[in-house]
Amino acid sequence: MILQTLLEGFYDLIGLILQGFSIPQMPAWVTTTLGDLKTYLLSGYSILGCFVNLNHLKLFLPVVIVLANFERTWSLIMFILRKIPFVGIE
Amino acid sequence: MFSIGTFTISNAETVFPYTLPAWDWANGGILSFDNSGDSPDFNQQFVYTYNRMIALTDTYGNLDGTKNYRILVNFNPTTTISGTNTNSSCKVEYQLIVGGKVYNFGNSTWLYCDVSGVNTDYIIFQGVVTDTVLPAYSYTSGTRPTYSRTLRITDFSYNIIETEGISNPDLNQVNSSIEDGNEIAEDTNEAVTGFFDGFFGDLFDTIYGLFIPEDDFFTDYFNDLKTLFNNKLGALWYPAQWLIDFIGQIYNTSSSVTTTIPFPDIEWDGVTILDGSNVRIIPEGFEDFQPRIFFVTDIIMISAIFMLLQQKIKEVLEH
Repeated sequence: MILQTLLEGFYDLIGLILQGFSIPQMPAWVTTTLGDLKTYLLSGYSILGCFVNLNHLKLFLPVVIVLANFERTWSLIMFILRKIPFVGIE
Repeated sequence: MFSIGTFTISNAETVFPYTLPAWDWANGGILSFDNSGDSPDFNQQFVYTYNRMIALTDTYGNLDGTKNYRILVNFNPTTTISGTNTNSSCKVEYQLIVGGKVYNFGNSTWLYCDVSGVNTDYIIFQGVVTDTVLPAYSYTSGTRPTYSRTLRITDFSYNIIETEGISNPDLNQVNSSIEDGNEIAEDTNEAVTGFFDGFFGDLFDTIYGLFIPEDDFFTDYFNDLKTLFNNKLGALWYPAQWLIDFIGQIYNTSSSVTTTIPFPDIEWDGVTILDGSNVRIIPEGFEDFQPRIFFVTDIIMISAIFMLLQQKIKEVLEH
């Protein structure tokens, strides 16, 4: 209920902010090009999947991201913990 | 309610007379094995049924078939086992036979049974003895194994109470009170446990619902959010949408042994020189090769993660 209310409030706030916006869509040739690029990248990823187990890769990738950015991850965790009063972390 | 008499064997040395092969009831018995031959293997089980008929005429008379009775029986069994070169056990099941109907004591040494419609002047107390005799661990061929088991029944007593109709108001009242008490206890137990189950169940559901929205909420929410951004931000939103779709497709792609590289047609001046084709990276017949490749690459990935972890630990400790 609390989370739902917060998220819905955020949605309403974003809608209110963007009320006056009406930016045109991306030109078709750009979307086509980017679509082709995505297709090529996914084809390369599939070829990689012949040699690397993609299920394991998807498992290891978040671990690598967290480890490689350990300082930032630690700061984020501590930032969240400091917001909880009864934990008592200053 | 009235008692029609009690039959008791009070002398501990007195036992029921019975007839068993190679068995002396008064002194127990010895079962011996003539196993002086070659084979040390023996596995003997002796099942004996002994019984004693108890005449009711001595104390009361016949059981009346038109009346209801409750017969209570108590006794004290003593079993003594001894022997040489044997591992043995003795199990006894006691029974009471009234008017041809068998009431089992099981392992208990007391029993009550409700009897009705029986016209008889005797009851039978019966024991089914099962002796199991196995060779001892140290038994060797040529050593004579012996087994001795003595079973005595002492302090046997029985009591017969007429429980018919209103002539037994006290017993009926007691039974009724017990049943009422059981019902009250059961109702109370259900009420208490039901209250706590319901209370804590509702409490947990409420707390859970307080923080965690319904299952489909996030899916609908993010779809609505993407639609809002797409409508309002247009071209600015497209790169983010492209990235979200790309990550989603990456996440949903799994390794396949049939992955192909597509080669397009090669044309020159409108004439197809070479037809396009899809070439499998792992050719047919070499599918079993892929798990071995995966094994090697898994080791490489795990090693790389551990090296990264070591590096990060080193950095943290140095700072």
